[in-house]
Amino acid sequence: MESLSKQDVSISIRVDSRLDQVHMVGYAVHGICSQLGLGDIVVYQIELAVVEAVNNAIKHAYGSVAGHPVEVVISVNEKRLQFEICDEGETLHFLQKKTDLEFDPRNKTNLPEGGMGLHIIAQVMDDVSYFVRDGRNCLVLCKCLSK
Amino acid sequence: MRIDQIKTGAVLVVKPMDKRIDASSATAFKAKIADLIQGGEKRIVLNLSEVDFIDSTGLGAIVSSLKAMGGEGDLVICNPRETVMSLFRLTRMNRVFQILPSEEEAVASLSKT
Repeated sequence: MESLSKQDVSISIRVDSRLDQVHMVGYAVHGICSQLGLGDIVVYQIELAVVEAVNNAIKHAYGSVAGHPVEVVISVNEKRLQFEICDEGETLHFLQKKTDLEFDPRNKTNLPEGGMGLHIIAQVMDDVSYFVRDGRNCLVLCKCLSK
Repeated sequence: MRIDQIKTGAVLVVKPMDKRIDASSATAFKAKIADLIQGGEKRIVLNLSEVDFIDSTGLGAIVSSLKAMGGEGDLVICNPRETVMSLFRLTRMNRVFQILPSEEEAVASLSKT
């Protein structure tokens, strides 16, 4: 992973582990991405990927229990956008696995109602990594800006 | 979750008036649609014209609504924004739902069945 230059901008947002606070992260991501001149669909999909990551932290790392911190650090330079989503809950090893979303669209009884978040993140982002440091779990999502 | 409803013949048009169907509102959305289905509504148009954002939990609630019909009816989606439509494409749910550009077309489609 490249180190960030002095011209980088970094913004940190901290929310409580409550699903009704996730939209605030979404609005912040949307606003920043919009300022970068990305198209509406790309902006939407980046917001979606970050929201999915924060939802995962709340639902799975904290078991949907409120009162715990989720921090999102947004870093941007001319080459890339990076989102670091960190929690202090349970380490989610499944985040390190690749996920496919396989289903038969004609078979309505077996359509997935969940488990789509990781697939969305993998589809939208150029690089996804997960690590544990000092008791904090961090999911790092990167989107290249200069293609 | 605020939802407008308009009955057109045998078709019920359901229009969520909140901007987001996400993990915090999906349960309420799902319960509301389930109530309608249990009340006998089997031909439902979901008009997404007012919805800016749907996440995978919100999408899961829409899928759940379709499954709750048990194959006896159908749920057709209309007026999604291009951004929201991209979620259906990312998850390949555009191959599951009939998605039409206008409410009139969606109502007409369900009125034929």
